[in-house]
Amino acid sequence: MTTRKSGLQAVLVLLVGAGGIGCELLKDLILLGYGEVHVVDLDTIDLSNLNRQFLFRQKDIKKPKASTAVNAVESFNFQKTKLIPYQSSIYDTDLFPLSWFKQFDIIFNALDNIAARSYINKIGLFLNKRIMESGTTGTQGQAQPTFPNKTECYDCVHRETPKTFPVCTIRSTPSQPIHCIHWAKSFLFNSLFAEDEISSIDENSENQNLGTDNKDEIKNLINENNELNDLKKSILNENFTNKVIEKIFQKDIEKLLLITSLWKSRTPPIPLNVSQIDLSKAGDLGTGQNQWTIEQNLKVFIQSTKNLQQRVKSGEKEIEFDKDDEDTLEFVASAANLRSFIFGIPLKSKFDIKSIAGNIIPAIATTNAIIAGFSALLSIKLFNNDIGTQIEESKSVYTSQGNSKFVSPSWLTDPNPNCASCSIPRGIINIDNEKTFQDLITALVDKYGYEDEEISISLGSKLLYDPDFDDNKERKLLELGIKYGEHLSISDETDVKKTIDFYVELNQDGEINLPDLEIPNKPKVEEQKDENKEDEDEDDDFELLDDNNDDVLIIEPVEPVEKRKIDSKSSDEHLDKKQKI
Amino acid sequence: MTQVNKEEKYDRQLRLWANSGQSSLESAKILIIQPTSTTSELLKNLILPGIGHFTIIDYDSKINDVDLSNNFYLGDDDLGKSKIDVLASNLQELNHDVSYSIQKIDPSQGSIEDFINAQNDLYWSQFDLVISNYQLESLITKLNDLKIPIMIINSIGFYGFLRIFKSTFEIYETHPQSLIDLRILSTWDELQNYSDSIDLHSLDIEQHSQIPYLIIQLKAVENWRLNHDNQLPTTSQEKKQFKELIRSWKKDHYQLNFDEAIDNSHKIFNNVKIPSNVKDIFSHIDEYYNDFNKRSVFWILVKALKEFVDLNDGFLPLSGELPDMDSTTENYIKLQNIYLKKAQEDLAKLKDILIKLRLKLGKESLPISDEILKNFAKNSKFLYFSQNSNKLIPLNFNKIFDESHNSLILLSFFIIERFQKDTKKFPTLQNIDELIKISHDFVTSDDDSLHLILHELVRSEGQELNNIASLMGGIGSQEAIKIITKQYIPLDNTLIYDGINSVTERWKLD
Repeated sequence: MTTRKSGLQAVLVLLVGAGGIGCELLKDLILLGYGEVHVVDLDTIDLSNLNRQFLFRQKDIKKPKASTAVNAVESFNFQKTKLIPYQSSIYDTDLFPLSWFKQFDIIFNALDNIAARSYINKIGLFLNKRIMESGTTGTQGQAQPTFPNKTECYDCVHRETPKTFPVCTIRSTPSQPIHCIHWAKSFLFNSLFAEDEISSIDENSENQNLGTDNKDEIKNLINENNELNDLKKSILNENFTNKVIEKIFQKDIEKLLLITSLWKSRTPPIPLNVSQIDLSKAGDLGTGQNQWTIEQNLKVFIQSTKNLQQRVKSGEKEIEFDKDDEDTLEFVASAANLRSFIFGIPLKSKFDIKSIAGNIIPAIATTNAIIAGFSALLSIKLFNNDIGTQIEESKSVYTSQGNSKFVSPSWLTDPNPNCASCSIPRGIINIDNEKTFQDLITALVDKYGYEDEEISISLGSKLLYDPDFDDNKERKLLELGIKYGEHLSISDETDVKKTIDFYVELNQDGEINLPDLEIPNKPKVEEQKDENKEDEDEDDDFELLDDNNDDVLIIEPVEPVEKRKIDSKSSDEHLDKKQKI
Repeated sequence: MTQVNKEEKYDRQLRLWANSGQSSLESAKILIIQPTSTTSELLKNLILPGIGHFTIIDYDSKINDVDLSNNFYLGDDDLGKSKIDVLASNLQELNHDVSYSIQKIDPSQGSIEDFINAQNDLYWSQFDLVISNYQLESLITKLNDLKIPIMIINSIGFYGFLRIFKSTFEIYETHPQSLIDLRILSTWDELQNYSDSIDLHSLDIEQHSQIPYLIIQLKAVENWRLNHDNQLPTTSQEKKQFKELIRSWKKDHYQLNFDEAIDNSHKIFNNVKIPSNVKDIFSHIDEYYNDFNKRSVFWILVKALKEFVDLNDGFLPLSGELPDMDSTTENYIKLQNIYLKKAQEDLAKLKDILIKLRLKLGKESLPISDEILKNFAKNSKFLYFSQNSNKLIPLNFNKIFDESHNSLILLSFFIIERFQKDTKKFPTLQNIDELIKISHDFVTSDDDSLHLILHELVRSEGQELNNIASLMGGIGSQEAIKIITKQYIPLDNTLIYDGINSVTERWKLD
């Protein structure tokens, strides 16, 4: 016999992430008595999770987080919340098509990266779902409810985009430890162990940020790639390690020195003469927090290369860099340090390099408990009264050390009218992707009244069509990669209408169904932006921290530390995962 | 577990409080008096990061149905078992590096209060922190004499209360946002000579784009002084002009180092040699350094720091830290060495002073490692000190109630505690008038909202809500870690959480 459930018992929840915040939040949600919670997390449990993810034990290492967490809470599931775990990527559109998200009354984000938060944010916008966002960094954190199109969404706040380095800085003229770490991880390690073929350098491409137009330098870069490709083929040979050392720390450097124009105003590097390094002096390596000597670095490099070589021999095809994989970490740390030594750059400890190369954000149980607590308690307000009252009564909170509060609450603010996500109209487009691109263009122009096909169409970040680029017109939509769950954005090239964003769903009836949308005109562009920036500079109190994790931002365009409001930084609760896309 | 494993397991937190903080944590012993949902959550958050040892004192009782629905560390299988045994062992399951002991009190033999009052100093001295959910005056007085911190943490219904009794906070590892101190306005010989060796305007564009921004700033300050009667820019108009001056030196629009010089120019003119927190600490030297009982390592260091300042033109030791900047490695390392050398010289001077001080103190001195001295010197601008009277009923109660509405929640916790002490039971709605009467023992004024809050608290029948307990446990554990590691700025000393409005407020009760 079932009776009609009431209150939170009737609410269906999606919890994205079963990590530091996720474990706490799952406990909080079932103790609040939510009716049904679906938990999605792709990851398995690591040793370094155990200092805060209290639902996991040492015996659980390598098990999936989602199901382990669900099993662990059953013993205190007093109100019989229905729990459904998924060990999957939230981006998996086969498992989680847009329609799947429709069932939920609220989504809790307990994520560790910006990309996934932004993805969920868009789902929320498409389906008008409320999201409870949360994040912590060390002792700081925040929780914030968002009401699509009614309050500030996740993308309304500008997040600093990660710094990238020109290829030449990484490959030819490094000047900071970070350059060498980037080189060791993204170039050397990937070239030798992770990729099939080293991506080639196209000297004529405008897309690649080479950062140089020095012909000799570019030529040298191309040669280096080719030689490394050849070297990679001999990975099973006995003398592979020696060859690698000789090439990258000696011969490549000698070749660089020949490009004299590079060294006019720079200190030239000194090739490593391996025969003069006495490995017997390496001695005990100590803990990871010591800085290794050059002998120790070389010893570690040799050992880790041999270990990796052995793993390839035993059948591992692709080894990915993972900061918790000692061989890969030691390879990258020692290679980066040897290169730093060559270029007269200060060396770093393995502990520090791990942090930089692995995008590590400190994370502790205490902050996660506080922020998950707020996230759960703030959500209660979302199931009383009408939506207007809910918004009025809702708050976001962020930790704060600077005033009489412990955390600072603030009322929810209006959406940013220039937000790239929520200020634009969006809808679901239902198409048969056997139709041609021309069919789609015609349908769009007919439906929304664009002038003379003066539009541009992008699939994600890939441009498919604009008035100067019509090569694709006769191709089938399928051939262009237009599949279920993809995003298509349509911009008005006459600059009148706002850009619109479509979520693609498919039919097999030869139809192109476009949603009814009022496309508003673009607002007048704001000027004076620079002036505003100047004013902020003036005020010392508003200065944001020089975070020591800034280094982290540089390597991978994954998880920059978000800088929000004064005195608050929120971001990724623990960044020990690969980006799940 | 081996050391390597621990480094991996605790990796994410070592990046916050380093080995020094971790070893403080691992050697710490804490006592929990009569665990509640809130203090169980708190304990969980201390066991996970690896607290050394915890002791629990509680009445010996068997687990019943109510316990099961209240505390998620107890499972269905545990029905009828000893509550304290099961709770402690289930909590310890979270981390086998942690050890524990339990103290069962047989109610027929006396109360927990009797047990507490019967313990001698030696018993209490084993603990680094004592945690309880009510303010027992005799215990507070005793621990205050022994300089052992005590944390009172409680939640009732939607409200939470946290108060820390600790006679002084003396912290140098405060983890400020940045230790960078460039001293553009007061250069020393090496820095000045290096700057003078660079003729900015004669450099070719490539070299010009690789001059560290602080050299550009230095030269801009010189130039400005030369043209402005040796004065610095003060008004915001002048500061804008100063930026314009730097901008006018650009040889190319895209020179990042000049942009950095402009973006960071507001930091130049903050010319405070000794910030107010350090001045305040200096004003307490006589009281703390000269009193043998109060003279901790912190005060010996502070005394040395004061002498250093007196001998060094009013400057604190230089931290030596440089920000990242656009520059050649060569230029950057030169600068880094100049700052590092100055910081090392300052440290050496401070060490000399300290050695003399400790000689003077002779046997009364305390051991201070070079590591501690170095850390102290680096953080000397950001020291944190505060003292607390630790009176159960603070003298500034009235003032607080005049100023803040949320303080009524604080008052309500005091009232209910008093009622429980007098009657040995939790108040019901029939007792509201008595509760209001009790309020006059604490404050003179009346406030209608007090009725509402008391009503809300009483309505809960003294029960903890799991989610409020979880949040308060998070806050309490965060503060416990600060106390134990002696790092970060602590909550000093009282906090109220209002779960109905999602508001926290804190006060210094004195």
